Amino acid sequence: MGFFPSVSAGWNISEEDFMKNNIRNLDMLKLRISYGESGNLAGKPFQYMSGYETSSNSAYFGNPTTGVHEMKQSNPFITWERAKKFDVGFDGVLWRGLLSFSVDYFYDKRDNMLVPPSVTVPLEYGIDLPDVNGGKMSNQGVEIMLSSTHTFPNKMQLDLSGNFTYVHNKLLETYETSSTFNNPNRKLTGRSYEAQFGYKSLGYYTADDFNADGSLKPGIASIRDAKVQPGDIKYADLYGPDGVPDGVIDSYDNTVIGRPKNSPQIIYGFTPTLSWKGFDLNMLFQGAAMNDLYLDGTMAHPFESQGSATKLQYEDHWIPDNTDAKYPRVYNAPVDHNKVPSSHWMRNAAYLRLKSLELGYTLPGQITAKAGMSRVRIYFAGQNLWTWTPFMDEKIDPEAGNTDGRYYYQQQAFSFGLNVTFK
Amino acid sequence: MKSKITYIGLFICMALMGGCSDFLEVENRNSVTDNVLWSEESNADLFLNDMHNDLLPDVNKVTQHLDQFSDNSDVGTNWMAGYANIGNAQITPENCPKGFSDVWDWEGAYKKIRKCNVFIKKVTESTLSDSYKQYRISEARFLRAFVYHWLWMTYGGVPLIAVPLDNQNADIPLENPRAMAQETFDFIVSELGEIAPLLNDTETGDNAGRATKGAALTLKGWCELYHASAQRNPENDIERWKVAAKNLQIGDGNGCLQLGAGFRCIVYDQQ
Repeated sequence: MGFFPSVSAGWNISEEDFMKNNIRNLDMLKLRISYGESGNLAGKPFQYMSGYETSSNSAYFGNPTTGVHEMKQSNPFITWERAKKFDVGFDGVLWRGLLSFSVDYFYDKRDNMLVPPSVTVPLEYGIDLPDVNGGKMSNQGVEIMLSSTHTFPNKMQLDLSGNFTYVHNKLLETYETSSTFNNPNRKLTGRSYEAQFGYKSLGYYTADDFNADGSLKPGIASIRDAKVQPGDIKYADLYGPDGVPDGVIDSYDNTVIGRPKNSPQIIYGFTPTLSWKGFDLNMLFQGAAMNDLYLDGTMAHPFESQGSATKLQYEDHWIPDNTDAKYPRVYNAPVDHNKVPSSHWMRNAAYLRLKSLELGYTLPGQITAKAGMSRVRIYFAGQNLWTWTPFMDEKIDPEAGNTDGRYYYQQQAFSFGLNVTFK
Repeated sequence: MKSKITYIGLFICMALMGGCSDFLEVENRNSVTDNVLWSEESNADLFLNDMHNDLLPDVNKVTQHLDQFSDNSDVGTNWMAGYANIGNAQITPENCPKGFSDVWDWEGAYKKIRKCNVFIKKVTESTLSDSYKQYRISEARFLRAFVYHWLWMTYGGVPLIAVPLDNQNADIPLENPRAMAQETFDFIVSELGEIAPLLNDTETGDNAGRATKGAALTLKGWCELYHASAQRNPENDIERWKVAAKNLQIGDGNGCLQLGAGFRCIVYDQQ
């Protein structure tokens, strides 16, 4: 049986005697603090039992038959994850509603996460090992919400509200083999959960890196047996079996190249609302920052899978006259040594988006009343009107969670409307 | 007073519930357990059906025939990636394609071998009838020898694993080194030799397609021929050729089991 308690407390500081009559502009100030635990069984149920499940198709002996196969090996010691969450925050209102704010700091720690054990059995084992409760992860961050309401002397009303969240994730403990644990570039413990790893790109090979016969000069590293030429991506040799660079680019040279996929560390939004003399305007802006997107497929490699190439690849690929290009040397089919995961294809997908906008006008009451209508409003509304990705040239939607450009895109929508209320 | 009775009643209910906690046990309806599967012949057959399905996926499919591994073809063997690696002589253990019908696939082969080993172990330990055990275990051994022979043809010596590996059982070694090619060949050929007398001559009706005596002997003969061929027999040891020739002539009067009788038998029903 699981026991998951929680407790919380709040203190209305502004109601205290020492605050109430002494500080004039502070309408409300409250301190909140809470702590709780919650449990979660990650993954599929019944992982503690072994069993057989039906196969989707099976052999045909004169007639079709059904078949069963073993499921993953069982883990009889499996238990639930336990998350301990702590939060402390302030709420307040100042200047009779001109500014209200809410600031929170939170710290979550999750134990007993189900993680796949690192490979500790050879390939001949023949079946997948079960997940074990071996992971510990922490998330901590800050959430801020601000809002403001003001009516100007000329009867214009402006409401502004915004929110901002920053989170930092860290894997405190997980299963690792010594090949990643002892290599400071590859160590999973202490980094974000599911951070992206790959080689570090140093740019391209230049003609100076090669001898007259096409072989690489000594001291310049490449992937083993890769036939490289000027214009191919050059990777950094960071590590080797002895702990020092060894002149060969292989799995020892992997390092962190980006944050986990689709996990921006900062998300924010704000909604300005304006109304004046019958006009009303409200907008929703949203965005994210510290967001890493890895390019793949035809977005990154021209002629991948006998496909085509993008305009950006056509305009800006490596040729001897353009050695500082965005994309490397082009082949008739992408070559392995330019396709391996590396920082060359990592993009900063920070963005700001005007998610929705509505502009309306309500006709003056006296005019409409004569026609028997108590209220008439016309409006124009739009969705996804504008997106700004200042650090990324490739046209790919940072919210789509896609890496190769093949996804069904979010659409811009425009609509006009008329609201009429009869008496 | 009323609230006191409510509390006492609640307490009694909870105490009673502690005793009969079985109704909280939930069964997994999506899978079959060991006891159920190996207790009936028709259930154990389900496992064997899945093993048969695993053999030779995509045999002679339009994208996987041998021409796809040469430069005659533009798209095949894992689409562009496999072709480019073979054509540019850049195959490494990390990117080796699975080959036609997955015959080069080391990991996949050992998954199939594990299924055979699980079947053999569980059926041997079960309470099914002896005739069923003998018949089906021979069939599983045939399938296992079949998968091993592809591995042997591709890689020579491979780890010979005849029990399902279990990392929670200290008696079973997890690390199995590769045996020599000769030892692997001997294992395959001895398995096939042992099961050939135990299999039926033909299979019809609901069993059409299961391994027959002829299948086991043919596979054995094929392995012996390959073992005698120039690729595995560079010194041209005549003894190997003699063994293969002798074994492939075992056709007990039934024309279809003789070398050379093949085509006629495929076209007409057996004579």
